[in-house]
Amino acid sequence: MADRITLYRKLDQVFAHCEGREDAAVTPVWVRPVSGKGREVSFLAEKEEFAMLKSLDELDPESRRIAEEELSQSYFMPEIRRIIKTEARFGNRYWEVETDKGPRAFAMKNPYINIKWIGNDEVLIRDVIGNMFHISSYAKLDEASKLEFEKVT
Amino acid sequence: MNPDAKLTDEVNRLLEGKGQVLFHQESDLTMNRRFGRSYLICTDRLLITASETDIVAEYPLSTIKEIKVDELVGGGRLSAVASDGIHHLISYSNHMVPHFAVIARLITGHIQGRKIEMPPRQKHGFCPRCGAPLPERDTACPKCVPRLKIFTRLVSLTKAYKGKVITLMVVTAFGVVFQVVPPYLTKMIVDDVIGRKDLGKLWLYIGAMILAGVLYLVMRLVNIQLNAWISARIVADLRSRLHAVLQYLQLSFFNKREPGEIVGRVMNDTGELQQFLVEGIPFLLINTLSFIVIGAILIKINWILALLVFIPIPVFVFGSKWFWGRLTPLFHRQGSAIGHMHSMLTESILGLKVVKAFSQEQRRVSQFDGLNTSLAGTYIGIQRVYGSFNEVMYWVMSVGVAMVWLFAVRQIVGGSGLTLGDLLAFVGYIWLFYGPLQWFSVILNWMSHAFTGAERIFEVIDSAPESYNDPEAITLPQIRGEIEFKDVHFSYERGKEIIHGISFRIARGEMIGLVGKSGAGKSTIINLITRFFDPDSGEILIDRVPVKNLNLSQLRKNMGIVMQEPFLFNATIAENIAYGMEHAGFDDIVAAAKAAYAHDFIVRKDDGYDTMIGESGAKLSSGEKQRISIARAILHNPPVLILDEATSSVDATTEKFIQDAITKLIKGRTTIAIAHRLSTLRNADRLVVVDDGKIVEIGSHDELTKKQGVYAKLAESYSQITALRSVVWGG
Repeated sequence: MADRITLYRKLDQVFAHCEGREDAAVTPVWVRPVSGKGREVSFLAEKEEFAMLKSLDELDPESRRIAEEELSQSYFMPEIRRIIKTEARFGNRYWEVETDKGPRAFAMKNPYINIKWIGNDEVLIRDVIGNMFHISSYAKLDEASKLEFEKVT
Repeated sequence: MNPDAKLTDEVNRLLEGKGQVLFHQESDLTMNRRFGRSYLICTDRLLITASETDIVAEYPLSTIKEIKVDELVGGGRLSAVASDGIHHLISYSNHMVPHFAVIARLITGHIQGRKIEMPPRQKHGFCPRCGAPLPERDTACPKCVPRLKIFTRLVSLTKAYKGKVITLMVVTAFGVVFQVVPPYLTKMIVDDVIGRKDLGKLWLYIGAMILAGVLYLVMRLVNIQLNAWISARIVADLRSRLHAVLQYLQLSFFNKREPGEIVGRVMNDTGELQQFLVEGIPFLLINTLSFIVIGAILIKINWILALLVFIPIPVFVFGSKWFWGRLTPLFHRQGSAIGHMHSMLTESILGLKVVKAFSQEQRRVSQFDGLNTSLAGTYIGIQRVYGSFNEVMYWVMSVGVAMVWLFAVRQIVGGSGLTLGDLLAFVGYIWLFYGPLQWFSVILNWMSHAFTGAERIFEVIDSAPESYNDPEAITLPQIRGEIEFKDVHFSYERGKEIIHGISFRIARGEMIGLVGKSGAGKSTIINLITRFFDPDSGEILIDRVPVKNLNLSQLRKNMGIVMQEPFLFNATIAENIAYGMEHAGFDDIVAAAKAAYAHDFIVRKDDGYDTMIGESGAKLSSGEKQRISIARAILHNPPVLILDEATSSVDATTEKFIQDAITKLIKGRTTIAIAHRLSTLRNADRLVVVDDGKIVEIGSHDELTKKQGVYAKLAESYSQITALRSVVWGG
């Protein structure tokens, strides 16, 4: 294993420390944000990658907490709990959904491009402006939501 | 930035005693990053973040150096770079990215004491009227298109063809009249002729029937012709205006839109509008009119029977709404699937070499088959729903007819004054009456769709063009070519500042090489000199006059631009060289081509200078295209010359040719050249090294090499690449 990396905060900025190297301000990013969220993490310094980890498990608890906090800030992807209503009109799909971040309405053009299935059950949805929504398990949605989902896809 | 969005009273109360509010922006997320509201407020001394009910944090402006925009996935965040480090200020979803980019720029400008131009207002992605999400950021909301307003505007476009429009109206009205005559004649024949066993009037009625038929036919024919003519004219006029407007629009309009989207507006939106005008409007006019006329006749014949006929109307209206509700998603699914198939086909063909190289044919075939099967399934579904829709509606109509028979026959036999002729006229009218009903909701939907397109067209037509005709603009007797940048800051649409305060001067006739890594801001500097874009703050002067005040057409006519991928029009080589100089003599064209080392290859072509180039014509190599565009610049003879990567897409031998052509070209002109290959810049008087939107070094090649700075590093990596290339190409 590479030299152990620890993270610390100075005000709102995150710094990475690694024995024998200069500390650097870093931004953690998922390496595979769509297909492997929660797996490899890269810590980007201003010019280049500071380090890449196979998993957040390689960090100490405090560093890990900081990394998770930062990652959740960097990926704003509300989880859809319920699909209230969908509508296909004028070539657009209109959605009204209930998410873990509150209710939201959004529009989408082409579901072939903007709805991405990950495996058989997980769904990523992107609206016209580029906002992302996530369904961790399609099977677990209630029947009414599934019906609305199918109406526009 | 939405200056109309006032701070809530609650927040205003909290701000008491915090100084005068200069800028503020509402976010669509709360401080806990849920959907909701929070605020960023900049007063004359504090930077404040607030939830709807509380102030969350305050920072004295004096401690802040700059506001930074972090682009995150699904949104963004502003941070304050303060003397003690970085503070996160506020988060927002993608909807608000442009707004916060603006506020970040405004606050940073304020802190650093620069005046920032306020960009035009942005829509934030939701319809201000109905709150529905917009299908594009800068579009009209199709859900609440002001139909009447658009209709009025479309009608106003027909002013020039007033006579034809009035004729059309009259013809439509008479068409309806002649359409409702025959069933009434049926009644007359049954009651007067058959009922009284009197053949005397038969010929009169039959004659009238045939005449009505002929007149109806004539009215319809005139109607179709006129209607087609008028709508084609309206749409053609719109298309011309749209194209003309596009030519004069600022480049920033195109910067945030795909070319395909714009072409779509010109072709699809107008096409769709035309189809609606040709088919939809007459349908609405004729059927609304005949609906009213027939309804009135029915009531006049027998109002009780008429009521009976009206009973199924709600069934038609709601029934067709329900059916179309089922059908539309299927149509949408079909549309998307076809689009997907198109791109897959394109991939299959364009990427065939790769598919074969990795022997993935089988996989492609099964992918395509899967998609094809699902498309066929959708099609079957549509036909099933559509077919049953028509049949069920027909059945409902026949139920209505049966009811009429039931009541009418009882009345006739009972002798209440209703005649057999009345009944037959009724049955005749019923079909005319019911027929169009099921289509009304469809047409109204279609109207919304077509009118959304119309509003998009009007939006473009109404947007601000470049100021070619600014009466205040200064026209210089002659442009000499002295250029100066004074603390110029600039950012493209998304708000990340690209140019951070650049100042330098170029003397008349000097050649400047812009050097730097890709993305450093070199092309942006050129976009600013040509005034394709205006800076956020600072000034650019040409001959000591701010370019902003210069006559735009004079400015552009005095600049020659040779681009990396020269754009040649679908025209002959000679026409392309003389582009914008229609009166150039052929001798001048040849002279320019010779100076650009293009003459030799041109005359070798079968059609010489008449060779057609572009999509339908001959394919030129990029070196040949480049030399044609250099010839174009030479013919133009501009005092300011801009070379944007003019040699980077050609091989070493061609580069030599182009290099020589350029050497000739730059004599006596102010030249600004961007080049990846530093050898292109060997003639430059000075090199301006740009890094991350700032000027880091200025000086001649020798000076900068000695300095061992950024340029020296670039030159070193370049010479390594050249060495590598000579190995690969053996040259």
